Amino acid sequence: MNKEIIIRLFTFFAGLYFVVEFILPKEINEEIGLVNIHESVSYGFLAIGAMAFGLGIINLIRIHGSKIIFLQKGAFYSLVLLLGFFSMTFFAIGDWKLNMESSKRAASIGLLQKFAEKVETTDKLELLKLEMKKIPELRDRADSLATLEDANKSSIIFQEASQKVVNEETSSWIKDGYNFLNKGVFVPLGAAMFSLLGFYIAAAAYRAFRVKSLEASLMMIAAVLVVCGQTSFTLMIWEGFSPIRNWLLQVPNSAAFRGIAIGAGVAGLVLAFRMWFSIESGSFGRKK
Amino acid sequence: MIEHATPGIIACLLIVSLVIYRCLRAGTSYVRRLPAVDAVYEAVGRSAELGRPVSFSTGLSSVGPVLYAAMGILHAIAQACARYRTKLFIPQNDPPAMAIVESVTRDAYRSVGLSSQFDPRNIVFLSEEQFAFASGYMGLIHRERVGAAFLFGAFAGESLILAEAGQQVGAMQVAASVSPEQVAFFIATCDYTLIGEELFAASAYLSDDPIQRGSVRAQDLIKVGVFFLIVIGVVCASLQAVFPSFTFSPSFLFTGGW
Amino acid sequence: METATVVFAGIGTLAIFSFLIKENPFYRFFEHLFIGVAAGLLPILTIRNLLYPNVIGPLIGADIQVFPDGEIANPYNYWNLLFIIPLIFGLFYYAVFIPKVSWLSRLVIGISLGYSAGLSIKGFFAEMIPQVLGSFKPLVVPGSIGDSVNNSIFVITLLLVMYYFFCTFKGESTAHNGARYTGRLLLMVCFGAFFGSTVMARMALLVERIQFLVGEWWTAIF
Repeated sequence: MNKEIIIRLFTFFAGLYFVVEFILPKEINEEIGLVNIHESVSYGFLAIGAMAFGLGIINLIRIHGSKIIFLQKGAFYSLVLLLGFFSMTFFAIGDWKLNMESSKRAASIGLLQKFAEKVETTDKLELLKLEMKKIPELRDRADSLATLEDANKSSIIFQEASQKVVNEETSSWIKDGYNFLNKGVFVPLGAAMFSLLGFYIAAAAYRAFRVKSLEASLMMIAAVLVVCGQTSFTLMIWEGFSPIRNWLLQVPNSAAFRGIAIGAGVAGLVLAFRMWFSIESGSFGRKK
Repeated sequence: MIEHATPGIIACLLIVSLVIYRCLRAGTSYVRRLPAVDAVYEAVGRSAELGRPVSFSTGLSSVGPVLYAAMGILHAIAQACARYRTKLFIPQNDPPAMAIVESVTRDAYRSVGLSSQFDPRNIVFLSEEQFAFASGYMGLIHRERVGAAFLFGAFAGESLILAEAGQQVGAMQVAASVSPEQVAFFIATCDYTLIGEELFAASAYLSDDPIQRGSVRAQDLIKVGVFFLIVIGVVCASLQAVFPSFTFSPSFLFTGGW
Repeated sequence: METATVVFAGIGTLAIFSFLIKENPFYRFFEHLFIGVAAGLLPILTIRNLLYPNVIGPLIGADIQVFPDGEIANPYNYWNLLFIIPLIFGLFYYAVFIPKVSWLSRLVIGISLGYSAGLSIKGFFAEMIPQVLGSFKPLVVPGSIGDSVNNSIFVITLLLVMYYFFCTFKGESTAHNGARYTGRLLLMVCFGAFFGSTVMARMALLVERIQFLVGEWWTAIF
């Protein structure tokens, strides 16, 4: 079968599920079991996209690796990039492993809780107490379960133990490394980049808000009125800025926003149909 | 939010499908002039004269209609860059989108018979993280001193950072975003800006492709339908406000059950 | 270790701010470090928060638990074996590196396109239609001139902005050009309002970073 036809069929069926799921009434969806599988199907599709993460990593390693190997311009910075990448990968996996261990311990406590709730014989009660003594957080409480009734109503003991495990702060060089890279590099650099907007918005406003045309003037007036309406200093001068700001945002602004959104939504819908049915004349606009 | 289709919605879906089908077959000859799109070739030509590279960014676009629309423009720009022998950088944020971008760019170079010019290393993956991407983009634009920067796709808070980077190196910038908040920043910083759905029309305007032009025609016809639906809805709501016994409203099409 | 983290964070922040003067090696170092660290962190977070708990974990039965008496608490659901399908399709992205089977990468791209198309079609009706219905505002509200005026301005603005975006209808009449121009002017009011509403939020971010430098970072160094 022609490869293009196979690709088009897969494209069509991938989209068909969501369209059918939306079109069918909720009652029919429940009857045919679509409601039960919807979450799993959605995760399946998300997983397909998520699996592509390696493409970015391969691209980074190819470009920066070749700069290092051939000692091209910028090789030092490429080395920094790749060192940052490999060390963060190592520490992130280590941190995940540490968290998984504590999650497993919490899960085993949860399992014992479920077992305790359905214990019916003294043999099983003894088994439960034996298992509790293996867990440090439950060791001291094991003997407090004297009877079957005690065991069946002991959920609070297990919940407290589980909470202790979850809140436990494990100190380890892996966690230190992860926290250093996360809280010392990733988070603050992202915040610093975001804060550059404070400078750039002033520069952009200076450049744009000049009374050189009616359009620029209107844009400037609207912006100034909104800023005045949300700054305590200008509100001290005149309280009327606040209702003007609110009116601007709630009436003309939201109407224009809706007009743009409807137009973009319709355009997206038409394009979605083209994507779904793979309607293209060659590749993206190649003239016939 | 509507969670399931009503008979009215199915009827609309069928009408929309029919309109799209008819328009895609028939195409259209007229698409309103978009100055920002005219500026695309001007920008690439200017970069070629100055001996500076061009950059094209799809921002934070993931696989979807917005990326699909941007690919039409990328195809045209890549063809122009190939002809002018100008380097084209395409910084990327999303790995699946990167796969599509590479495929489209390669095809654009092949379509003008200059496959040898295509260098996959110019498709630079920066980061999936919004501000790591912005910082990489800023550095790339400054180091390479691009002559033209195109920003077509989905952008968020980093839009102003990206646009300012191009502004600082004196690049001619053309931007398009469906998000009105970011369009405001692009208008303040870029030379030309496409607003909202003009992004979707741009690719049709650049090419003579009947399917793309038919697609824009279908958009307009559906919007005419929505336009008159709103007019009817407003008239009905006004009559209802004045005459409370008047209860008709077109909203029953979308909110009725099965 | 915490002190070192704060000190390094402050140096990185200053490096980013140094870009405002010009692009420099100090900024470049931290730019590359940021990209590298992000590239290392995000894929692990994707696997940790999305792939493993929702796909890989159920597939391999990682959540199966056994009671102390040997009874299985939650038996393996054999339908989970189907999760191997999206994982295999996901691997097709890497077929682009193998020329003989590179068409498989187009297959998985096609699946992504189809899936997002389906979601977009659903999204249009689910999200846009309520916005259209919400626009059915009465132009006359008995007893409230303010609401009547506001609704009228809202509806006229909406319709004029929609009119501005018609791309394939030719029109040379004064009414057509006037309506389009008015729509464009209303768009400029909208963009100005958006610009103004984000100014304070952006300034707040800058203030927060400066507070970090002047407070936490400075104290950590001295």
